Amino acid sequence: MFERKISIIPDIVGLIGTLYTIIAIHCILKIPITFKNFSILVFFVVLPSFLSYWLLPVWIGGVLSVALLCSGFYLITGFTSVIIYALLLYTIHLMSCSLTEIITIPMPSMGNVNDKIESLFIILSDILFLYFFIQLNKRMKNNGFKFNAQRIIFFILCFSILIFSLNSHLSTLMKKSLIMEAYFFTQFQYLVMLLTMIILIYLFIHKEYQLSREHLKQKQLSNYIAGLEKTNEEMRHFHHDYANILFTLQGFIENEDIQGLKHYFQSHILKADKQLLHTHKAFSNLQNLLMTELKGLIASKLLIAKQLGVNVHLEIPEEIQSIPVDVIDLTRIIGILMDNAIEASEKSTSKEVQMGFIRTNTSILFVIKNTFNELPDMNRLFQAHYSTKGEGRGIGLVNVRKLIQKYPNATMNTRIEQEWFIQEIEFR
Amino acid sequence: MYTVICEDNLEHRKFIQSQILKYSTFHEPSIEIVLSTDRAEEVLKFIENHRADCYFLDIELAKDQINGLELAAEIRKKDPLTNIIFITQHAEQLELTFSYKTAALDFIVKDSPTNLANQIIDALKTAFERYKQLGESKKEPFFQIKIGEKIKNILLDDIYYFETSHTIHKILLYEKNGCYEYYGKLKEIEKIDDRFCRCHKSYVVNLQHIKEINKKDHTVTMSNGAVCQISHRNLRSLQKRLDEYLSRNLEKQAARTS
Repeated sequence: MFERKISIIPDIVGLIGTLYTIIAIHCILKIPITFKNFSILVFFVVLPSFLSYWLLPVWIGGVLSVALLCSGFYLITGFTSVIIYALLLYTIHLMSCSLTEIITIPMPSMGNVNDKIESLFIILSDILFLYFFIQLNKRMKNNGFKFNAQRIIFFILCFSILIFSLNSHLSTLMKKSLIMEAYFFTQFQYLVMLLTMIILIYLFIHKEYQLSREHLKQKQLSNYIAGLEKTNEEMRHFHHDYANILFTLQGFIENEDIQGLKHYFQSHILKADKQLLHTHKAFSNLQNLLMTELKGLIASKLLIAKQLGVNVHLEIPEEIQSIPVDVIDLTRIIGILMDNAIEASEKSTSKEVQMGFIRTNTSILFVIKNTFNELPDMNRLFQAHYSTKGEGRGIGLVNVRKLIQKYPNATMNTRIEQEWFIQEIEFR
Repeated sequence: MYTVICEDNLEHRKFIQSQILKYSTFHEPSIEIVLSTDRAEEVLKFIENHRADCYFLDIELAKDQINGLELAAEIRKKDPLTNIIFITQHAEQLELTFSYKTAALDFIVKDSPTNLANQIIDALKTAFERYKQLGESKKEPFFQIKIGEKIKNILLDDIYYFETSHTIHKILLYEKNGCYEYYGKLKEIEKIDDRFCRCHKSYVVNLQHIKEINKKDHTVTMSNGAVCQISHRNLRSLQKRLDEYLSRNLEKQAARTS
């Protein structure tokens, strides 16, 4: 009954695996195809692994070819993360191999035809798995997924590749149906185990991500509180000064020095009042922003602006509960834009920044405008290293554009209107 | 230009009224006050059947009625293009909110009388300017982009090119003073004016601003230094359209000088 070989011609399957991994990595990481890369892959990876499949026992060939793949890609790119990708993709290939074996085992033996069908199956399931993998990869990237569980993944992958290779080696030795069944059972079990492991890791990373978000929230909240305390203290000082001011006024009145009173009032009181009330006003406007992360960020920037003598006028006329963009991205966007605006306006004569979160019928609009000293070149503004701040610092705006591009529900305008440099982002 | 005033402080209302009248009798007789009231309800009733071209609205109306902002929103619903000017007592203005939420033309801070008069005249002048523009040009040489409730007019002459954004349905517009992003389709831009030419599946360029066409690299350099791609298919048609456009312009200039 079980006369036919369990494992189809190993060198062909191995070759499919190697080629598949190479193509898949190229697809995912978008490594450029140059003559050097090509020759490294052919002479260092593909040919030796083909030879080792052909001449050596299957499992040695398998492990050797994986090692060759990893080192080959490491040579090309110089990143360690590429090794993890290679291992991951090779495991996927092994998974599709064992899947194919499970499916094709009940089929009647038809000699050579079986082998062809099996290779076809393997290629098909390879493509299918690759598609899911790419989708998953995209998702993870969008969620701000970081490869900080790299080591765990690395060990699991090494381990599983070893086991799969050993298993396929064992399977060639087995002839009796009972052991065969047991073998497939364990193979299947391992598959399930691996999948659960991957899911667990994903959950773990997800949790970590959420923790980091919480952490950010906390940090920003404390920023906000610090800001509030500072303005509160200033208010107290102001009250103290107020008493003094009233006494001075009394002096003018008693002497009936109207001219002096007028002068004093305009030069001292109105000025002091405006300066202080400005920041205070901005802080009280923050009340309507119900997103803690942003509150803290803006509060800390307001304090910086105040130190630099920049007047920031903040408007949030209605409550803003949420903005339909990932909070971490949003804090980055607004942080960069505020930094730019404050820095540019500091160099201008009037030192004004106006910003606001405005709710319209269909959208939430974030506007920030600042005065400037040096007119920026509109065409180069979004190029990687352009900045009026000097060499090597102009990556801010490009980053903002990139972050905005991720979201189909956000649009951004940048323009100059008279003495204002204006940026608007509309979230739908 | 029909003007409406809604202000609940009698003195201020009279002052604004007199300033407008003074300006209209000496400078622009077509400015006319059609309604002057202290009740928001009367304005609401008025806009049911009539329309005006310029509204002066007090933001802080008496407590028992809707405030100026809400009134402005109602007016905008009926007449999206009209001019709205706010009058406010407070220096802590909501300037951005006014312009983006109700697309207000201007706002006036109740200050010393001379200052107030100047502000009124300035606002009135800009309102009249806009009113005239609207009347003159039915087919506008502008490209309009909505930002919040505010409509931004961009001169077609100032536009360099359009590019599809990396995300679908978003288009980037590059012009002299900035860069805008909006939702739309490149296909529709060509219909606006014959100076726009689709040269690539993700670019529409303004023929006016082409500096040079590089046939070898399949690129076109715009007068601002930006480089757009041309697809193989469109290279010839772009060259042809450009020649046509230039010769047509020359004819126009010749006609104008002769």
